[in-house]
Amino acid sequence: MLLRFLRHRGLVSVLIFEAILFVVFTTWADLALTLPRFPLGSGVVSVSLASLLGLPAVLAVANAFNWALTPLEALSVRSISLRIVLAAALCHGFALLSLLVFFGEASGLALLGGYCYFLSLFSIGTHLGINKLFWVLPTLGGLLIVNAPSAWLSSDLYEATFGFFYSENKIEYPFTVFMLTIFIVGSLFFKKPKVIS
Amino acid sequence: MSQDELLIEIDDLSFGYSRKSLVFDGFSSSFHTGATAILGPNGSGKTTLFDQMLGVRARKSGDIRFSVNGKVLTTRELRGNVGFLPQSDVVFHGMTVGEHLTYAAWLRGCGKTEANDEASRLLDLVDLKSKRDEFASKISGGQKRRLGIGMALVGKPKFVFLDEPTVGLDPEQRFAINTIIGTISSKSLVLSSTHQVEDLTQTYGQVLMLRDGEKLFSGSTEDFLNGGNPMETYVSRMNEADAAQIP
Repeated sequence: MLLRFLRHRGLVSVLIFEAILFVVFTTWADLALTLPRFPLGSGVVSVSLASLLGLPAVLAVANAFNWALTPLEALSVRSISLRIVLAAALCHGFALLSLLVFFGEASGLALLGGYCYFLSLFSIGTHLGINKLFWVLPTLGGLLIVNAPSAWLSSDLYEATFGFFYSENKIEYPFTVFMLTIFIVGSLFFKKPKVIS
Repeated sequence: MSQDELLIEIDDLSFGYSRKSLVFDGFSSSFHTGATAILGPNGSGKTTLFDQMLGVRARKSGDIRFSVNGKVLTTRELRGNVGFLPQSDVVFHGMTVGEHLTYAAWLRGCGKTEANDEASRLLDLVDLKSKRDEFASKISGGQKRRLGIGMALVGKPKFVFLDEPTVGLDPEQRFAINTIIGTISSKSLVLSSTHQVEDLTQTYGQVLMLRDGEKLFSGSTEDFLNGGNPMETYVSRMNEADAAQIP
Protein backbone atom coordinates (compact mmCIF):
# COMPACT_ATOMS: atom_id res chain seq x y z
CA MET A 1 0.00 0.00 0.00
CA LEU A 2 2.93 2.32 0.68
CA LEU A 3 4.18 1.69 -2.85
CA ARG A 4 0.74 2.53 -4.17
CA PHE A 5 0.84 5.71 -2.12
CA LEU A 6 4.17 6.68 -3.69
CA ARG A 7 3.03 5.73 -7.19
CA HIS A 8 -0.08 7.87 -6.87
CA ARG A 9 2.00 10.70 -5.50
CA GLY A 10 3.80 10.69 -8.82
CA LEU A 11 7.17 9.22 -7.87
CA VAL A 12 7.53 7.71 -11.36
CA SER A 13 6.67 11.08 -12.92
CA VAL A 14 9.25 12.79 -10.72
CA LEU A 15 11.95 10.36 -11.80
CA ILE A 16 11.03 10.82 -15.49
CA PHE A 17 11.00 14.59 -14.97
CA GLU A 18 14.46 14.43 -13.46
CA ALA A 19 15.74 12.38 -16.39
CA ILE A 20 14.42 15.02 -18.81
CA LEU A 21 16.03 17.78 -16.74
CA PHE A 22 19.28 15.87 -16.86
CA VAL A 23 19.20 15.77 -20.66
CA VAL A 24 18.16 19.42 -20.95
CA PHE A 25 20.70 20.74 -18.48
CA THR A 26 23.59 18.72 -19.83
CA THR A 27 22.71 19.54 -23.44
CA TRP A 28 22.28 23.29 -22.95
CA ALA A 29 24.56 23.93 -20.02
CA ASP A 30 27.03 25.97 -22.08
CA LEU A 31 24.23 28.08 -23.51
CA ALA A 32 22.90 28.73 -20.01
CA LEU A 33 26.27 30.00 -18.91
CA THR A 34 26.59 32.49 -21.75
CA LEU A 35 23.30 34.27 -21.12
CA PRO A 36 23.49 38.11 -21.08
CA ARG A 37 24.48 39.99 -17.97
CA PHE A 38 21.91 41.75 -15.85
CA PRO A 39 22.18 44.45 -13.17
CA LEU A 40 21.89 43.39 -9.54
CA GLY A 41 22.76 45.47 -6.52
CA SER A 42 25.45 47.97 -7.22
CA GLY A 43 27.09 46.14 -10.07
CA VAL A 44 26.52 44.01 -13.11
CA VAL A 45 26.53 40.29 -12.52
CA SER A 46 26.67 37.57 -15.12
CA VAL A 47 23.94 34.96 -15.06
CA SER A 48 25.97 32.26 -13.47
CA LEU A 49 25.31 28.65 -12.82
CA ALA A 50 24.55 29.56 -9.24
CA SER A 51 21.87 32.11 -10.13
CA LEU A 52 20.23 29.54 -12.36
CA LEU A 53 19.55 27.55 -9.23
CA GLY A 54 16.40 29.65 -9.08
CA LEU A 55 15.02 27.59 -11.95
CA PRO A 56 15.41 24.24 -10.21
CA ALA A 57 13.96 25.84 -7.11
CA VAL A 58 10.81 26.86 -8.94
CA LEU A 59 10.49 23.45 -10.56
CA ALA A 60 11.06 21.76 -7.23
CA VAL A 61 8.41 23.83 -5.50
CA ALA A 62 5.90 22.83 -8.18
CA ASN A 63 6.69 19.19 -7.54
CA ALA A 64 6.86 19.42 -3.78
CA PHE A 65 3.27 20.64 -3.47
CA ASN A 66 2.11 17.37 -4.97
CA TRP A 67 3.62 15.57 -2.00
CA ALA A 68 1.71 17.31 0.78
CA LEU A 69 -0.48 14.99 2.82
CA THR A 70 -4.25 15.28 2.38
CA PRO A 71 -6.37 15.92 5.51
CA LEU A 72 -7.41 12.26 5.47
CA GLU A 73 -3.76 11.20 5.54
CA ALA A 74 -2.70 13.80 8.07
CA LEU A 75 -5.45 12.69 10.44
CA SER A 76 -4.82 8.97 9.92
CA VAL A 77 -3.08 6.53 12.21
CA ARG A 78 -0.50 5.97 9.44
CA SER A 79 0.56 9.58 9.10
CA ILE A 80 3.97 9.00 10.67
CA SER A 81 4.67 6.05 8.35
CA LEU A 82 3.66 8.15 5.36
CA ARG A 83 5.96 10.97 6.38
CA ILE A 84 8.87 8.58 6.86
CA VAL A 85 8.31 6.90 3.49
CA LEU A 86 8.06 10.26 1.77
CA ALA A 87 11.26 11.43 3.38
CA ALA A 88 12.98 8.21 2.33
CA ALA A 89 11.72 8.52 -1.24
CA LEU A 90 12.96 12.06 -1.39
CA CYS A 91 16.42 11.23 -0.11
CA HIS A 92 17.47 10.48 -3.67
CA GLY A 93 17.61 14.24 -4.04
CA PHE A 94 20.32 14.53 -1.45
CA ALA A 95 22.17 11.52 -2.86
CA LEU A 96 22.17 13.03 -6.34
CA LEU A 97 23.16 16.40 -4.96
CA SER A 98 26.17 14.88 -3.26
CA LEU A 99 27.22 12.98 -6.35
CA LEU A 100 26.51 15.57 -8.98
CA VAL A 101 27.02 18.98 -7.43
CA PHE A 102 29.96 18.24 -5.20
CA PHE A 103 31.80 15.93 -7.56
CA GLY A 104 30.28 16.61 -10.97
CA GLU A 105 32.27 18.62 -13.49
CA ALA A 106 29.51 19.50 -15.96
CA SER A 107 27.32 22.43 -14.95
CA GLY A 108 24.23 20.66 -16.27
CA LEU A 109 24.74 17.94 -13.74
CA ALA A 110 25.08 20.56 -11.04
CA LEU A 111 21.77 22.08 -12.08
CA LEU A 112 20.10 18.70 -11.85
CA GLY A 113 21.68 18.25 -8.45
CA GLY A 114 20.35 21.65 -7.51
CA TYR A 115 16.87 20.64 -8.56
CA CYS A 116 17.02 17.45 -6.48
CA TYR A 117 18.38 19.43 -3.57
CA PHE A 118 15.51 21.89 -3.64
CA LEU A 119 12.94 19.17 -4.19
CA SER A 120 14.18 17.35 -1.12
CA LEU A 121 14.40 20.50 0.92
CA PHE A 122 10.93 21.75 0.06
CA SER A 123 9.24 18.38 0.31
CA ILE A 124 10.75 17.53 3.64
CA GLY A 125 9.94 21.03 4.83
CA THR A 126 6.33 20.48 3.79
CA HIS A 127 6.13 17.31 5.82
CA LEU A 128 7.85 18.79 8.80
CA GLY A 129 4.83 21.04 9.06
CA ILE A 130 6.04 24.29 7.58
CA ASN A 131 3.47 26.26 5.68
CA LYS A 132 3.38 26.98 1.97
CA LEU A 133 5.20 30.30 2.21
CA PHE A 134 8.35 28.83 3.65
CA TRP A 135 9.90 28.24 0.22
CA VAL A 136 10.12 31.98 -0.39
CA LEU A 137 12.92 32.40 2.13
CA PRO A 138 15.20 29.62 0.89
CA THR A 139 14.70 30.63 -2.73
CA LEU A 140 15.28 34.34 -2.29
CA GLY A 141 17.95 33.71 0.28
CA GLY A 142 19.73 31.28 -1.98
CA LEU A 143 19.71 33.67 -4.91
CA LEU A 144 20.97 36.50 -2.75
CA ILE A 145 23.67 34.40 -1.21
CA VAL A 146 25.10 33.32 -4.53
CA ASN A 147 24.80 36.69 -6.23
CA ALA A 148 25.04 39.36 -3.63
CA PRO A 149 28.59 38.84 -2.40
CA SER A 150 30.28 39.84 -5.66
CA ALA A 151 27.88 42.72 -6.24
CA TRP A 152 27.51 44.19 -2.78
CA LEU A 153 30.52 43.31 -0.71
CA SER A 154 33.83 45.12 -1.01
CA SER A 155 36.40 43.07 -2.83
CA ASP A 156 38.40 42.47 0.37
CA LEU A 157 35.39 41.29 2.34
CA TYR A 158 34.22 39.24 -0.59
CA GLU A 159 37.61 37.58 -0.92
CA ALA A 160 37.65 36.90 2.79
CA THR A 161 34.23 35.29 2.89
CA PHE A 162 33.56 33.70 -0.46
CA GLY A 163 36.71 34.03 -2.51
CA PHE A 164 38.26 30.85 -1.22
CA PHE A 165 35.20 28.75 -2.01
CA TYR A 166 34.87 30.30 -5.46
CA SER A 167 38.49 29.72 -6.25
CA GLU A 168 38.22 26.12 -5.11
CA ASN A 169 35.03 25.74 -7.12
CA LYS A 170 33.25 24.69 -3.93
CA ILE A 171 30.74 27.48 -3.51
CA GLU A 172 28.18 24.81 -2.63
CA TYR A 173 29.62 24.54 0.88
CA PRO A 174 28.86 28.06 2.12
CA PHE A 175 25.73 27.98 -0.01
CA THR A 176 24.47 24.86 1.78
CA VAL A 177 25.29 26.28 5.20
CA PHE A 178 23.41 29.48 4.41
CA MET A 179 20.47 27.60 2.96
CA LEU A 180 20.16 25.38 5.98
CA THR A 181 20.36 28.42 8.24
CA ILE A 182 17.59 30.13 6.33
CA PHE A 183 15.60 26.91 6.30
CA ILE A 184 15.82 26.61 10.07
CA VAL A 185 15.04 30.29 10.64
CA GLY A 186 12.17 30.04 8.15
CA SER A 187 10.78 27.02 9.93
CA LEU A 188 10.74 28.96 13.17
CA PHE A 189 8.87 31.90 11.68
CA PHE A 190 6.53 29.97 9.39
CA LYS A 191 5.83 27.02 11.64
CA LYS A 192 2.42 25.52 10.94
CA PRO A 193 0.43 24.26 13.92
CA LYS A 194 0.27 20.54 14.31
CA VAL A 195 -2.64 18.52 13.04
CA ILE A 196 -3.91 16.07 15.68
CA SER A 197 -0.82 14.08 16.53
CA MET B 1 -25.45 -2.97 21.32
CA SER B 2 -26.01 0.10 23.50
CA GLN B 3 -25.38 3.50 22.03
CA ASP B 4 -22.26 5.34 23.19
CA GLU B 5 -22.66 8.73 24.76
CA LEU B 6 -20.51 10.94 22.58
CA LEU B 7 -19.70 14.49 23.48
CA ILE B 8 -17.59 17.34 22.14
CA GLU B 9 -17.13 20.29 24.49
CA ILE B 10 -15.66 23.60 23.40
CA ASP B 11 -14.77 25.98 26.22
CA ASP B 12 -13.82 29.61 25.78
CA LEU B 13 -12.25 29.14 22.35
CA SER B 14 -10.35 32.07 20.88
CA PHE B 15 -8.78 32.02 17.46
CA GLY B 16 -7.93 34.49 14.72
CA TYR B 17 -6.04 34.37 11.44
CA SER B 18 -4.31 37.57 12.47
CA ARG B 19 -3.47 39.05 15.84
CA LYS B 20 -5.78 42.01 15.32
CA SER B 21 -9.05 40.27 14.49
CA LEU B 22 -10.42 37.13 16.08
CA VAL B 23 -12.81 34.76 14.33
CA PHE B 24 -13.78 33.24 17.68
CA ASP B 25 -13.48 35.17 20.90
CA GLY B 26 -14.49 33.15 23.95
CA PHE B 27 -16.68 30.76 21.97
CA SER B 28 -18.24 27.84 23.87
CA SER B 29 -20.53 25.08 22.72
CA SER B 30 -21.16 21.35 23.03
CA PHE B 31 -22.36 18.62 20.70
CA HIS B 32 -23.91 15.25 21.50
CA THR B 33 -24.55 11.97 19.69
CA GLY B 34 -26.62 12.55 16.55
CA ALA B 35 -26.43 14.92 13.61
CA THR B 36 -25.89 18.63 14.13
CA ALA B 37 -26.12 21.12 11.28
CA ILE B 38 -23.79 24.09 11.50
CA LEU B 39 -25.43 26.93 9.63
CA GLY B 40 -24.25 30.36 8.72
CA PRO B 41 -23.27 32.58 5.82
CA ASN B 42 -19.90 32.35 4.11
CA GLY B 43 -17.18 33.57 6.44
CA SER B 44 -19.20 32.91 9.58
CA GLY B 45 -16.57 30.50 10.92
CA LYS B 46 -18.01 27.08 10.07
CA THR B 47 -14.90 25.64 8.43
CA THR B 48 -12.66 27.42 10.94
CA LEU B 49 -14.59 25.75 13.76
CA PHE B 50 -13.92 22.37 12.10
CA ASP B 51 -10.24 23.24 11.76
CA GLN B 52 -10.14 24.09 15.43
CA MET B 53 -11.83 20.88 16.51
CA LEU B 54 -9.59 18.78 14.27
CA GLY B 55 -6.49 20.60 15.43
CA VAL B 56 -5.57 21.81 11.96
CA ARG B 57 -4.89 25.29 13.29
CA ALA B 58 -3.52 26.17 16.69
CA ARG B 59 -5.95 28.08 18.88
CA LYS B 60 -5.09 31.19 20.81
CA SER B 61 -6.79 29.92 23.92
CA GLY B 62 -9.57 27.62 25.06
CA ASP B 63 -10.14 23.92 25.38
CA ILE B 64 -11.77 21.30 23.16
CA ARG B 65 -12.54 17.84 24.59
CA PHE B 66 -13.86 14.72 22.88
CA SER B 67 -15.34 12.10 25.18
CA VAL B 68 -16.99 8.70 24.90
CA ASN B 69 -19.20 7.59 27.78
CA GLY B 70 -17.65 10.23 29.99
CA LYS B 71 -14.04 9.28 29.20
CA VAL B 72 -12.05 12.05 27.55
CA LEU B 73 -10.10 10.77 24.55
CA THR B 74 -6.39 11.35 24.08
CA THR B 75 -5.29 12.72 20.73
CA ARG B 76 -4.02 9.25 19.84
CA GLU B 77 -7.38 7.67 20.64
CA LEU B 78 -9.08 10.44 18.74
CA ARG B 79 -7.12 9.73 15.56
CA GLY B 80 -8.80 6.37 15.16
CA ASN B 81 -12.22 7.80 15.87
CA VAL B 82 -12.47 10.81 13.59
CA GLY B 83 -13.85 10.86 10.07
CA PHE B 84 -13.51 14.00 7.99
CA LEU B 85 -14.93 15.11 4.67
CA PRO B 86 -13.08 18.24 3.50
CA GLN B 87 -14.83 21.00 1.60
CA SER B 88 -13.05 20.12 -1.63
CA ASP B 89 -12.98 16.58 -2.95
CA VAL B 90 -9.85 14.53 -2.36
CA VAL B 91 -9.30 12.47 -5.49
CA PHE B 92 -6.09 10.66 -6.36
CA HIS B 93 -5.51 10.47 -10.09
CA GLY B 94 -5.01 6.97 -11.42
CA MET B 95 -6.79 5.41 -8.44
CA THR B 96 -10.15 3.67 -8.82
CA VAL B 97 -13.13 4.26 -6.55
CA GLY B 98 -12.55 0.92 -4.84
CA GLU B 99 -8.85 1.67 -4.35
CA HIS B 100 -9.72 5.00 -2.71
CA LEU B 101 -11.79 3.21 -0.08
CA THR B 102 -9.21 0.47 0.41
CA TYR B 103 -6.54 3.10 0.82
CA ALA B 104 -8.69 5.05 3.30
CA ALA B 105 -9.25 1.84 5.27
CA TRP B 106 -5.51 1.19 5.29
CA LEU B 107 -4.93 4.72 6.55
CA ARG B 108 -7.31 3.89 9.38
CA GLY B 109 -5.06 0.97 10.33
CA CYS B 110 -6.81 -1.94 8.59
CA GLY B 111 -4.85 -4.86 7.14
CA LYS B 112 -5.23 -5.82 3.47
CA THR B 113 -8.17 -8.22 3.85
CA GLU B 114 -9.92 -6.04 6.40
CA ALA B 115 -9.43 -3.00 4.14
CA ASN B 116 -11.01 -4.81 1.19
CA ASP B 117 -13.98 -5.86 3.33
CA GLU B 118 -14.39 -2.32 4.62
CA ALA B 119 -14.23 -0.96 1.07
CA SER B 120 -17.01 -3.35 0.02
CA ARG B 121 -19.19 -2.31 2.97
CA LEU B 122 -18.73 1.37 2.17
CA LEU B 123 -19.33 0.93 -1.55
CA ASP B 124 -22.72 -0.45 -0.57
CA LEU B 125 -23.35 2.33 1.95
CA VAL B 126 -22.59 5.17 -0.46
CA ASP B 127 -24.13 3.33 -3.41
CA LEU B 128 -21.02 3.26 -5.58
CA LYS B 129 -20.70 -0.50 -6.08
CA SER B 130 -21.18 -0.16 -9.84
CA LYS B 131 -18.33 2.39 -9.97
CA ARG B 132 -15.85 0.28 -8.01
CA ASP B 133 -13.39 -0.17 -10.89
CA GLU B 134 -13.78 3.27 -12.45
CA PHE B 135 -11.18 5.96 -11.94
CA ALA B 136 -12.37 8.34 -9.24
CA SER B 137 -11.31 11.34 -11.33
CA LYS B 138 -13.86 10.30 -13.99
CA ILE B 139 -16.98 10.00 -11.85
CA SER B 140 -19.52 12.81 -11.37
CA GLY B 141 -19.34 15.54 -8.72
CA GLY B 142 -22.09 13.93 -6.64
CA GLN B 143 -20.39 10.56 -6.83
CA LYS B 144 -17.09 12.12 -5.75
CA ARG B 145 -18.88 13.63 -2.79
CA ARG B 146 -20.34 10.23 -1.89
CA LEU B 147 -16.90 8.70 -2.27
CA GLY B 148 -15.51 11.36 0.08
CA ILE B 149 -18.19 10.50 2.63
CA GLY B 150 -17.34 6.82 2.24
CA MET B 151 -13.67 7.61 2.93
CA ALA B 152 -14.67 9.66 5.96
CA LEU B 153 -16.73 6.77 7.34
CA VAL B 154 -14.06 4.11 7.09
CA GLY B 155 -13.75 2.20 10.34
CA LYS B 156 -17.09 3.51 11.66
CA PRO B 157 -15.65 6.60 13.37
CA LYS B 158 -17.52 7.92 16.38
CA PHE B 159 -16.95 11.56 15.44
CA VAL B 160 -17.70 12.58 11.86
CA PHE B 161 -17.02 16.03 10.41
CA LEU B 162 -18.62 16.82 7.07
CA ASP B 163 -17.76 20.15 5.51
CA GLU B 164 -20.57 21.03 3.12
CA PRO B 165 -21.38 17.45 2.14
CA THR B 166 -24.15 18.40 -0.29
CA VAL B 167 -22.68 21.48 -1.93
CA GLY B 168 -23.36 21.66 -5.66
CA LEU B 169 -25.47 18.51 -5.78
CA ASP B 170 -28.83 17.93 -7.39
CA PRO B 171 -31.85 17.16 -5.15
CA GLU B 172 -31.61 13.41 -5.73
CA GLN B 173 -27.95 13.31 -4.74
CA ARG B 174 -28.63 15.53 -1.75
CA PHE B 175 -31.39 13.23 -0.60
CA ALA B 176 -29.06 10.23 -0.92
CA ILE B 177 -26.32 11.92 1.11
CA ASN B 178 -28.74 13.14 3.74
CA THR B 179 -30.05 9.59 4.08
CA ILE B 180 -26.50 8.37 4.70
CA ILE B 181 -25.96 11.08 7.32
CA GLY B 182 -29.24 10.12 8.98
CA THR B 183 -28.17 6.47 9.06
CA ILE B 184 -24.76 7.03 10.62
CA SER B 185 -25.94 9.63 13.12
CA SER B 186 -27.75 7.03 15.21
CA LYS B 187 -24.40 5.78 16.49
CA SER B 188 -22.06 8.69 15.77
CA LEU B 189 -21.70 12.34 16.50
CA VAL B 190 -22.00 14.00 13.11
CA LEU B 191 -21.21 17.67 12.58
CA SER B 192 -22.09 18.97 9.17
CA SER B 193 -21.56 22.50 7.93
CA THR B 194 -24.17 23.32 5.34
CA HIS B 195 -26.01 26.04 3.50
CA GLN B 196 -28.90 23.72 2.70
CA VAL B 197 -31.37 24.77 5.37
CA GLU B 198 -34.10 22.81 3.56
CA ASP B 199 -32.33 19.61 4.64
CA LEU B 200 -32.71 20.34 8.35
CA THR B 201 -35.90 18.40 8.96
CA GLN B 202 -34.83 15.34 7.00
CA THR B 203 -31.44 14.92 8.58
CA TYR B 204 -30.45 16.98 11.58
CA GLY B 205 -31.65 16.83 15.18
CA GLN B 206 -29.60 19.79 16.36
CA VAL B 207 -28.65 23.16 14.92
CA LEU B 208 -25.80 25.54 15.61
CA MET B 209 -26.13 28.85 13.80
CA LEU B 210 -23.07 31.07 13.46
CA ARG B 211 -22.39 34.55 12.23
CA ASP B 212 -18.98 36.21 12.42
CA GLY B 213 -17.90 33.60 14.95
CA GLU B 214 -20.85 34.39 17.21
CA LYS B 215 -23.41 31.79 18.20
CA LEU B 216 -26.83 33.00 17.02
CA PHE B 217 -28.66 29.80 17.94
CA SER B 218 -27.88 26.45 19.47
CA GLY B 219 -30.52 23.83 20.17
CA SER B 220 -32.89 21.32 18.63
CA THR B 221 -34.04 21.64 15.04
CA GLU B 222 -37.61 21.72 16.35
CA ASP B 223 -36.87 24.75 18.50
CA PHE B 224 -34.93 26.39 15.69
CA LEU B 225 -37.78 26.09 13.20
CA ASN B 226 -40.53 26.66 15.75
CA GLY B 227 -43.07 25.41 13.25
CA GLY B 228 -41.82 27.69 10.50
CA ASN B 229 -40.38 27.17 7.06
CA PRO B 230 -36.59 26.44 7.22
CA MET B 231 -35.51 29.08 4.72
CA GLU B 232 -37.78 31.78 6.12
CA THR B 233 -36.69 30.94 9.67
CA TYR B 234 -33.03 31.13 8.70
CA VAL B 235 -33.41 34.47 6.93
CA SER B 236 -35.52 35.97 9.70
CA ARG B 237 -32.99 34.94 12.36
CA MET B 238 -30.23 36.51 10.27
CA ASN B 239 -32.27 39.70 9.91
CA GLU B 240 -32.90 39.80 13.66
CA ALA B 241 -29.15 39.53 14.23
CA ASP B 242 -28.53 42.33 11.72
CA ALA B 243 -31.13 44.53 13.41
CA ALA B 244 -29.59 43.87 16.84
CA GLN B 245 -26.21 45.04 15.53
CA ILE B 246 -27.50 48.42 14.29
CA PRO B 247 -26.82 50.98 17.02
